[in-house]
Amino acid sequence: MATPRDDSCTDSEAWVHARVMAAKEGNALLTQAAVDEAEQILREKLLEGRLTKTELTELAKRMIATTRASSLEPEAE
Amino acid sequence: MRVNSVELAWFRGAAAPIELKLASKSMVVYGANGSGKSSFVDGVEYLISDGKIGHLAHEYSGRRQEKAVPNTHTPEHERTTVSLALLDDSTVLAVIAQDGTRLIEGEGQSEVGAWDYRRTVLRQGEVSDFIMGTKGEKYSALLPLLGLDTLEIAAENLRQLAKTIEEVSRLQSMRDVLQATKAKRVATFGDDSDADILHVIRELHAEHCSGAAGNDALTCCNELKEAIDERIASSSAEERRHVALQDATKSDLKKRVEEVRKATQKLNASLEPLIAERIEVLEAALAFARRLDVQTVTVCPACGRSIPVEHFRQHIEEERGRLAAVVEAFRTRKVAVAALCDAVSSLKIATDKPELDSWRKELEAAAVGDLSYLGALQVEALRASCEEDDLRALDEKICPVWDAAASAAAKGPSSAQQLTKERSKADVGAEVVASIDRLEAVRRTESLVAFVKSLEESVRDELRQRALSIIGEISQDVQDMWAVLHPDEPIDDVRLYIPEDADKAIDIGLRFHGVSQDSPRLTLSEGHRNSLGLCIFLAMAKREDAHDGPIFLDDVVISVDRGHRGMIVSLLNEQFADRQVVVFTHDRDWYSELRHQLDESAWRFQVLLPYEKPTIGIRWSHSVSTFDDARSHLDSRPDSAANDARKIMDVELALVAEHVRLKMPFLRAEKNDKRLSHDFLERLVAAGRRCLEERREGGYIVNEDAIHLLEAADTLLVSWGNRGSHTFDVEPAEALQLIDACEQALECFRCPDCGRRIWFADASSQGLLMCECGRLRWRYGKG
Repeated sequence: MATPRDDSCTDSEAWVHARVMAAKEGNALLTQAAVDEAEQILREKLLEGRLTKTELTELAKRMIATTRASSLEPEAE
Repeated sequence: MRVNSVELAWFRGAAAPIELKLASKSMVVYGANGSGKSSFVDGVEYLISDGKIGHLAHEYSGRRQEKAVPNTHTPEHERTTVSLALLDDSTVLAVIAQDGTRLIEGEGQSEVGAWDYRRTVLRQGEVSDFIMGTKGEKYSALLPLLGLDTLEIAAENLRQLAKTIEEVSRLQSMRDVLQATKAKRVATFGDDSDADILHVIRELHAEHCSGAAGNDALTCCNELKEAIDERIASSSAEERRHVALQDATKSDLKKRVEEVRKATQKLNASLEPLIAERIEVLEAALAFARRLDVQTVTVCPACGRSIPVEHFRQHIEEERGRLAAVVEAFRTRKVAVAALCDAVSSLKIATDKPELDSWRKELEAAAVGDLSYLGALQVEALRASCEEDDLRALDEKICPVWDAAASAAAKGPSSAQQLTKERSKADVGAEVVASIDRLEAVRRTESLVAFVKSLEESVRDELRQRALSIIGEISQDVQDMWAVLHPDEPIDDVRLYIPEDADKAIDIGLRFHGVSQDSPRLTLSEGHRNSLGLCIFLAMAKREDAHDGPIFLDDVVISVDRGHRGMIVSLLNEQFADRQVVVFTHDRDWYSELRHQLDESAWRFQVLLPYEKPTIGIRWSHSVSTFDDARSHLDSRPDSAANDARKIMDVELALVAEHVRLKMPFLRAEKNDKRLSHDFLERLVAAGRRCLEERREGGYIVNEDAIHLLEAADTLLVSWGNRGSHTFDVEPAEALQLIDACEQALECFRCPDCGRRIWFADASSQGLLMCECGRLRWRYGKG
């Protein structure tokens, strides 16, 4: 398993992807678009040090917006 | 990467530039207390930690530690600097202004900046601090060293993110709105399903609206509301007045006032005793936390009862439950105040309508309530702060108005009552339709929060698994080191462990005389605890082997006894032979031992002169022996200087005797370790006449010069050394002569050509010891 200690960006991304996939299991209500957006955000920010209040708010808004917007559209198979 | 030198100028105790010349070797630095050893360690920490020194982080040192970092007597034209040169000749230089601002630069900055302070420097206080710290403090201290701080930060980011999503989405507020809509829905439609409600709305739409209802339910509701409003507008004055009165009383104001009052009472009832109890808890928790590691039963700070420690967590959970109930009480009151304000607002708007002009006049004439108070009432101010005085005013001045409106509304014509009911259905229907989307949004948001929380849990699981694995590896190293320091002692199985029942915690376990212990604080002496702290630090530092960074040990053996200090030498030789280690000590005997036992080709030895004053600063002694300690009080206390010289000789000569395999008569028990200089010198002189030789003109002859020096030192020690410790009447000149003689006597064993001691090479088969070049030798086999 790739780890955040590994230097290459790819390994960090793979690590985040694996965590996201595991967390997605059993969460039927969350759409794939929302999961993809969450993964994108986590790749960018999760391992970059402690997030500030402003950053957290911005990320939360992005995730909420995607989650709600995707809920209005039919799930892509 | 190894360090070539550390140089200080007007930094901490340093004045004129002073250099710790390591030349990429390991080093032992001896200096009496206050001689400036720690200034070098401070300098290294300053560069590693970007201009901060941990032990100076207190209220007296200033924001930039400007009151502690520069020498207190730095002349205006001098600069405070710290510089460090690495093996590859790259350097890091910190220039510090008097106000503490700093500029750190140099091509070595990236290398030095990457060193982890806690794996590079160990100070005396930090050894015991770590052992005495709580499980949580150990966790915080070790996490970065285990390389897991990134994971901990990721987990914390996720925890905060879940919380922020709840806040930003106003999840709780949306849940409150849904709950209010549900209450209205039950009141208006009973248990009807969504489909039933839409059916009712469509039927009403067909009755009141001209066009056909579209597919969109919300549009249908809005069209219906418009149509009913138009019907009301075109109805008779009496009907309009009735509808207005119905609007004014659609929310039960008196009930809303009572709900707020009830919620306030409930909140007060739960809050007051809770706050009083919290204060006691804070006081008790402090004492409790100190005892938690060493007791199995304690007094619970939450309830005051004696409880097993494992039950404490349960008590904490109960306390959390109680606090959550108080938070819920706050929320309930907020909702009740909002409902009250909505009711007041409806009444206020409705009573302002022209349809109710005549009704208002009747009310004023009958002096019912206070309509002017209602007109002036600021609803938003009431929403922000609704106290008992406000509720009483509503009771006295507004509720009678509401009663009168409700009474008049009940007597209206049936057609108006029907219109009001139908409009209410259209209003609530619209809210129900809107709540379908809102409910979906809440569910999606809750799902998102659950997803992020699950991510956090998964990261924490991984954190735990990795910590377990790394801690297992480190524990093995700790055990190996402990075994070197404490061979054949009944304290074993020393290990780091993660307590099963605690989050964010690491502790140290061991087996004491066969009994498992969860903490070294239960049974280990201070010396053993510090020795254990040293093992843990060294085990962590060992993980950095690949980076080959230096290790600085600042007076870490202060409470370790002589026997175990000797074992530390073995540990450094066995486990850290390939690392650069810099040992600072104020222990003269240990320094002498290190100087004799460590390999001179890999280790350097230097001695600091006793500190005099800030303008003179830190100074090196020209000698690697410690006789300058004695010289430093020649003028003020010559007897003490003589006594110091004797004590130095007691230790040094014991080590020399061991090296040259000098045969000494056996004494009982500890007396073997407490022989005096004279005993050694007497034997050394006697044996030296047979064994101590110097190469001259192709052959070896007895080194008579050395024998004379040894005899001279012995003579002076017998006469003045004893007087220095017993009759205290030694003159400064006598003491100086004694010190010089002692120093020269010890130098007999060092070759003036190659600089090596006479025991540098050991030809066991021939019973010979010799210096590197062979000029001096000791034929122990002959003796």
